[in-house]
Amino acid sequence: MKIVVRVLLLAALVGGGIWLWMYFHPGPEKAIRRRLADMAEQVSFNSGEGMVAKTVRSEKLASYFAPEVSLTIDLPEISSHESMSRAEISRFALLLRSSFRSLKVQCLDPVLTLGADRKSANVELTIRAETVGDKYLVVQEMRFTMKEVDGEWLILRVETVKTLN
Amino acid sequence: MDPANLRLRGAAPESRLCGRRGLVPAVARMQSESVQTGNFSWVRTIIIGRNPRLTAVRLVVVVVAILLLRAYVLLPIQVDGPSMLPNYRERSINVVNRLAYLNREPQRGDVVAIRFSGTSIMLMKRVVGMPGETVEFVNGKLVINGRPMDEPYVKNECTWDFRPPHWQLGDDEYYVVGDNRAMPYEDHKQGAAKRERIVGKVML
Repeated sequence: MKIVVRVLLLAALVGGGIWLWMYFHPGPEKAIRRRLADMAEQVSFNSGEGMVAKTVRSEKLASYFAPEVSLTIDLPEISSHESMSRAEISRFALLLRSSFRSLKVQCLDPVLTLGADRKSANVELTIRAETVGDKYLVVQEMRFTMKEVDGEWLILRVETVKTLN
Repeated sequence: MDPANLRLRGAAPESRLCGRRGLVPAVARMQSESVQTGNFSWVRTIIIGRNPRLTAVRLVVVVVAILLLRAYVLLPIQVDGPSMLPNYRERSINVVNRLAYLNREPQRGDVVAIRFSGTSIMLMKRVVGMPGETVEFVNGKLVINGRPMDEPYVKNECTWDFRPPHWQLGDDEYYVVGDNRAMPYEDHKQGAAKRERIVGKVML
């Protein structure tokens, strides 16, 4: 009986150790998923957000992107291709915060394709953005091209994906 | 219920009726036990059945079956948006059969679920154009390969008059559109859906 208990304790200890290791040293896929979820949290905001928080979170949002991001939008209403700097992303985030009372953004169903070097990745995902007070809902499929730079996964390119042609 | 009270209450009348000292405690005990086990077995039968092991196995089988059914066969959905009115009301609950197109391809008139990058959010639309066909709307009428189509499921008259940008369908494309044609076509999500995006058939 004692041996069984010892074996069980040892197994629990090893399992816990593996879990801790995985938590602090996630693989690329897990790191990207976590990063996207964090980014969605940074874009989202509630009506009671103060000016300092708005600025800090807008700047933090820009840090999820590369210094120069390529943005391609191909929708029935709008079609454009441009580059955006981190400062522009930050300003855009501030503009969003002043245009709406609240915004809830979710990155749903990310489908990852890692590059052969495991330092780059393509992510297809569904963005769901909802303004609670204004009852405005956007669902758009997107493709992000990401690259690992100094241990951080940065977004290099953002493209819209057509669900229906 | 307190067993001690049960035993006392059960013992008193019996002792009076029998009048035999030696018999009283035994009768009392028997009665109290029968009351106790009677209550317990009834509850136990309801909750865990007569054979707890068998019940546990059954429970596991049912839970696994439900999870498998939910993951691979029937996908519960909630309708959100007016594009399928009046046939599918907003907030109504429905089910997508993921195995519907395992052995056959989608048919004209089928209501299907179309995925985005995954199945968390899907589009619910009706298949009106089949692979290789041409699709356009002329004076509110759906026209396939130059021939006007009869659409009994469309209850709202419309004035759509346009040729979609992707009007000639590819070999693996289906034209999908909602039933509510009273909406301006600019606000109505429609177009050619790749076969791989069609998750299944809406059942109800």
